[in-house]
Amino acid sequence: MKISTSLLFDRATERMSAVQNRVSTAQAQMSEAKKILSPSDAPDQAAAIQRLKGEVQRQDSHSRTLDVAMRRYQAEETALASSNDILIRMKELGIQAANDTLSPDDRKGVAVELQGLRDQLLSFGNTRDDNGNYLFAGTRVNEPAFAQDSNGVVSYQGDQTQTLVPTGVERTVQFSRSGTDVFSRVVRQDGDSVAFFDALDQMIEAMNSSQTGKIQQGIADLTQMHNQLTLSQAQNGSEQTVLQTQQDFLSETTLRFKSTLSDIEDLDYVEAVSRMNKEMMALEAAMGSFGKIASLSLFDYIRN
Amino acid sequence: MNDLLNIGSSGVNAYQRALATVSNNIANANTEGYSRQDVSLDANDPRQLGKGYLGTGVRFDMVQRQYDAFVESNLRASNSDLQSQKPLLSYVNRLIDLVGDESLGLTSAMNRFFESSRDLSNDPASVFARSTFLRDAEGLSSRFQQLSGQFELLDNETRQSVDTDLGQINSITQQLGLLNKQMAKHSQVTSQPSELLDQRDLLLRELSGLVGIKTKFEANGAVLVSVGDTLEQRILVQKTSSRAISVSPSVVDKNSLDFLIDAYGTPESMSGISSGKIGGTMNFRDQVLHPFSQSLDDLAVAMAREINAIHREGLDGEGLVGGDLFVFSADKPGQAAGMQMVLKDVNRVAAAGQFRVIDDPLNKGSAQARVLYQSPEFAGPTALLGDLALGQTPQIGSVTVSITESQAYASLGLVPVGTQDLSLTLQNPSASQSFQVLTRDGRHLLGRELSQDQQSLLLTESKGLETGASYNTTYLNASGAAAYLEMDIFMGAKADVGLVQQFNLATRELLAPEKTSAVLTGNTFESSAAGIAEGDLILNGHPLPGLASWADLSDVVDWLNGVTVNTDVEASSVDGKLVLSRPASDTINDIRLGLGTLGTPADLSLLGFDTRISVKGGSTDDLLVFVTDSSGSASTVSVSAQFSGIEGSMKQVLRASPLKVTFTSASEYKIEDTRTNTVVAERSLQTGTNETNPSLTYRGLRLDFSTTPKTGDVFNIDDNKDGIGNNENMLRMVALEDEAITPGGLNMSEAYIERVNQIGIVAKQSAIAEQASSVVYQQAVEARDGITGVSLDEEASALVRFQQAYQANAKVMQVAMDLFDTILQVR
Repeated sequence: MKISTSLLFDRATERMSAVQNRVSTAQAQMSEAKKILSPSDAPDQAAAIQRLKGEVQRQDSHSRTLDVAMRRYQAEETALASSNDILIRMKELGIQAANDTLSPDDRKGVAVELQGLRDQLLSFGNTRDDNGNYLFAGTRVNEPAFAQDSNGVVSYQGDQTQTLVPTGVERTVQFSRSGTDVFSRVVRQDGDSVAFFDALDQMIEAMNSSQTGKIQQGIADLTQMHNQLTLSQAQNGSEQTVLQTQQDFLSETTLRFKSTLSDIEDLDYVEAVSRMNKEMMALEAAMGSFGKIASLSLFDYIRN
Repeated sequence: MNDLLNIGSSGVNAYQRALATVSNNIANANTEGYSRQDVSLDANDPRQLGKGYLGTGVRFDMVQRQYDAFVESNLRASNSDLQSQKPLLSYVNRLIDLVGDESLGLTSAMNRFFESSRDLSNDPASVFARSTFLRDAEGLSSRFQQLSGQFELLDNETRQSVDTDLGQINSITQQLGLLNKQMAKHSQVTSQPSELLDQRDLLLRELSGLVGIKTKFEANGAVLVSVGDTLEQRILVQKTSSRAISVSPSVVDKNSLDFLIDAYGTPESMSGISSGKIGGTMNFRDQVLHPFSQSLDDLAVAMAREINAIHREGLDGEGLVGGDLFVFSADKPGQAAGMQMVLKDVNRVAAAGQFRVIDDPLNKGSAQARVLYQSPEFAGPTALLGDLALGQTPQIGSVTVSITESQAYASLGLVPVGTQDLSLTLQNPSASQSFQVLTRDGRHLLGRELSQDQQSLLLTESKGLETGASYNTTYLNASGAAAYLEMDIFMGAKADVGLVQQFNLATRELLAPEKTSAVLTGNTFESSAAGIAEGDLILNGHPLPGLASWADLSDVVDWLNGVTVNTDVEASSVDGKLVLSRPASDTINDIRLGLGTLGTPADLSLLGFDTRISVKGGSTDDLLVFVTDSSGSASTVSVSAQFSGIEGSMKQVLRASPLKVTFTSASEYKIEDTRTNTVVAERSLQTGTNETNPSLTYRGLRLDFSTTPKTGDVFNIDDNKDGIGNNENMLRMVALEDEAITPGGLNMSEAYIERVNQIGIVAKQSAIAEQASSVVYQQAVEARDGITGVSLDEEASALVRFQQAYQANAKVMQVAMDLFDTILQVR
C-alpha cells in the first residue's frame, strides 16, 4: 500500500516521541526509586497501595502505643523495686526492735528511721510518668495518688479504673495499676482490713510507745505488704514480656506490609536500567533509520 | 501533416495539464485534508480512412479526486470512538491522582485522625494529645473540603470543555451549511471542485471527533448530518440550513446537563451524548465524577454521624458531656464541601467514659470491677399502654383493660424515667381492684402488698424486670424521706396548693402567681350503705377513724371535721360534693387522702374521690404499672393518664447520683442510691454460663468483676467527673476505625479505598480501550492515506513520465513541421 510522504513523517515523529517518553519515564523512575510515580501510573494498584500504606501507618501507631506503655511499665518497675527494698528494710528494723533487749529509747530511734522510710514509700506511691501523670492514681492522674492531711493520715485519692489501650487488632494491654493494688490494704487475723499507710503508721506508733504486741502485728503486716508488692512486681514483669512479644509481632507484620508495598511500588533497578538501555537503543535506531529514510527522495535521483 | 501537428499539440496540451495536476499534488503534499488528484486522459475520436480508422490524438478528460466514501466514513467512526476515550482517560487519570494521592486523598487524613485518637487514649490527660486530636479532626474535615473543592473544579472544567466543544460543533455545522449552498450550483458531485469536497470531508472529520455523527450525501455532494439514532431525527445540517446545540444544567439534577438542538427554532431534546469528545467528557461526569462526589458526601455524613455520636457519649476535661465535633454548613453544594470541625477548646475533647467504678480500698477480697454502660434492652413494655402514652398535656389518654379470672391483673405499661408530673386515674374501681407500681427491681412502691402468687405472676423478666429482681415492700406507699429515691409519688386523692396568675392592672405586667390553699373537691356524692373501717383511709398522714354508715353527706362532713385537729383539713359540702380544704392561711401544704394497709380505691370512691397515682416532678426510675383484681372473677377497668412530657434519660439519672454496690454475702449484693440511701436492688450474683467472671447489670450499667467479691466488699459507681485520665470514650473512637458503618458493610477507610479502586478500574479500562481505539483509528488513517495521500516519490515518477510524454509530443510537432518544410522545399 502506498504511504504518503506526510504520513511517513508523522508516523516517524510519533514513534520516536513514544520511545522518548518511555526513556524519560524510566529516568524519572530511577531518580525517585519508585516504579509507580503517581497513582495514574498504575490505577489498578492505587487502592492496594493506599490500603498497605494505611496499614503500615496503623502498625507504627500501635508500636508507638507500646513504647508509651513500656515506658510506663518501666517507671512503675523502678518504683516497685525501690518500694520493695524499703519494705524489706522496714521489716528488718521491726524484727530487730521486737527484741526484748531493746530499750524504749532504742525503739524510738528505730521509729525515726521507720518514719523516714514510710515517707519515702509515700513519695514512691506518688511517682509520675514522663507525661507528668501520677502513675498509681488510676484515672485521676492530675492529683497525687496518696495525700497526707495535716494529721499525717494518708488517704488514697485515685480510683480503680483500669485503663486499657489497644495495641493491635483485638489486642489490648492494661495501662494503669491503681495505687491500692500496689500499696494494698492488709487483712489481719481478726478480719479487719487496714489501709497500707495506716498500718505503717500504727507500727511506728507502736514502736514509739514500745508496744511489742503491736510491733509483732506490724511485722506480720509488712510481710503481707511485701507479698502484695512482689505480686505487683511479678505482674509488671509479665506484662512487660507481653508488650515485648507484641512489639516483636508488630515489627514483623509491619515488615511484611512494607515488603508487599515495596513489591508493588518500588523500582527494580536492574530491570529499569536494562529497560532504559533497550529504549535508548531503540531511539537511536529510530533516529538513525529515520534520517536515512527521510533523505531518500526520488527527486534526488532524477537528473536531467 | 496537419493531422500530425494536431495530434502532437493535443498531447502537449493534455500533458501540460497533467503536469499541472502533479505539480498541484506536490504543492499540496502537506495540506491538511487535501486529496490527491489524478488526471484521466482520453483518446480523441478516430477518423475513418479507407477501410480503417486513424487516431486523432489525446484529450484531457478530467481531474479525478482520489476518494473512497466507505474508508472516509470508517475514519469518522473510529475518530469518534478514539476521541471519546481520550477525555475520559485523561480526566480519570487526574481524578485518581487526586484521590489516590497520599497527601490529597482521604486515607491518610482518616488514618491520622484515628492515630491521634489512639495517642490520646494513651494519655487522655495530655493537653498536647488533645490538641493533636483536634488538629487531626480539623484535618479530616478540611480534607473532605479540599477533595470536594477539587471535584468542583473538575466539574467546572468539564462543563467548560463541553461548552467550548459545542461552540466548535456549531461553527462547523454552520460552515457545512455554507458549503452545501456552494455545491448547489452543480447537480453532480463529479462537477464539484475537489477543494470544496476536501473541505467538506475535513469538516466532517473534525465534527466526528467532537460528537458521533451520521451522514448522508446528496447526488451533488451536499451532506446531511445527524446526531440521532436515525437520519430522520436530531439533524444538525440539512441542505443549506444548520441547527445549533445548546446546553444548560438539568432542572431535575443540578449535576447533569441537558442538551437541546435548535433552542430558538424548533427545539429538539437530546437524551445525552455518548460518543466523540463531548461524549467522553459527559461519560466522565456522569459515570465517574458525580457518583464519586456523591459517595464522598455520603461518607462525610456517615463519618460525622458516627464520630459525633461517640463524642457525645464521653466526658470532656471539665467533666461535661461532649458535644458534636463536626457540623455541615447548608450553603455549600455538597455535605463534604460543608463539613466543619467546630470544637476549638482542647478541654472540650470528650475522652473519658461517663461512668466509673471505684472499689473500696478496704475491700477484703481482691475483686476488681470494670463498668460499662450500654442502653439496656428490657423485655415488656417500653411506654404506657396504648392511648395512655398519648396523654401528654393538654391531651388525656385513656384505656379500658380487662382482667380475666385466670389472670388477675392487667399491665398498664411502663412509666419511663423522666416522665413529668404524671397522674394516672383509676375510674370507678371495684372494692377488689387496685393499682400496683413496681420498679424493675421488684421494689413495690404503690398498691397493696402482693401475695406469693401475685409476685410470681408479676415479677418476671418478660414483664420488664431485671434479671434476679426480688420483691420488696420497704418503700410501699411511703412518702417524704422514706420514699423510694425520695420521689414524690402518691396514690389516692390529692390536691396541690393552687396558683392564681396575677397581673399588674396598670402596666399589664405578669406578676408572680399568688398561692391559694389546697382544695380537694370530690365527684357528686352518692349515698351508700357501706361504711369505712378504721384506718382504711389516711388523710394527710393521719389514719381516719371508722364510720359504720351514713345517711347523707353531712354525716361524712361531720365525721371528717371531727379530726380536723389532726388532719388540718376542713370538710364541707358544696353542690352535693364533698370538699376538703386547708385553712386559707396555709398556702404551703397539699391535701393527700391516701389508703391504709387494708384500704381500697373503692373506699375513696364511696366519698366521691377517684384513686389517682401522682408523681410530682420527674420520675427517677422506670415504673411498671399494673391493675390487680383480688376478687377472682373477671372485670374491666378504665384508666386515664396525663403527663407534661418526658425529659432526660436513664443515663442522666444514673449519672446524677452515685450508686454503691455492697456484697451482703459472697453471692448476694444490694445496690444503694447514695443520695437518698434507697436500696434500689437486692439480688444474688449471676455468673453467665459462658463467662468465667461474675457480673451484674443495673439499668444498663454493667459491672464485671475480675473474681468473686467477698462479703462486705463495696464498689462505688459514679459519674467520673474528675477522671481526666480515663480513656474509655477515646477507646470507642479508636474502635470506630474498624467498625462497618457504611451501607456496604465496610469501615470508613475501606469504603473510601473501595471507591478509589473503582476509579482505578475505570482508569485501567479506559487506558486499554483508548489503546484499542487508537489502533483502529491508525488503521483507518492508513487506509485513507493509501487512497488520498500524496507520495512525493509517486509524484516524482509521474512528473518524469508526463514530462517525457510532453517532450515526445513536442517532438511529434517538430517532426510535423520538418515534414511540412520538406514539402515546401520540393520545387
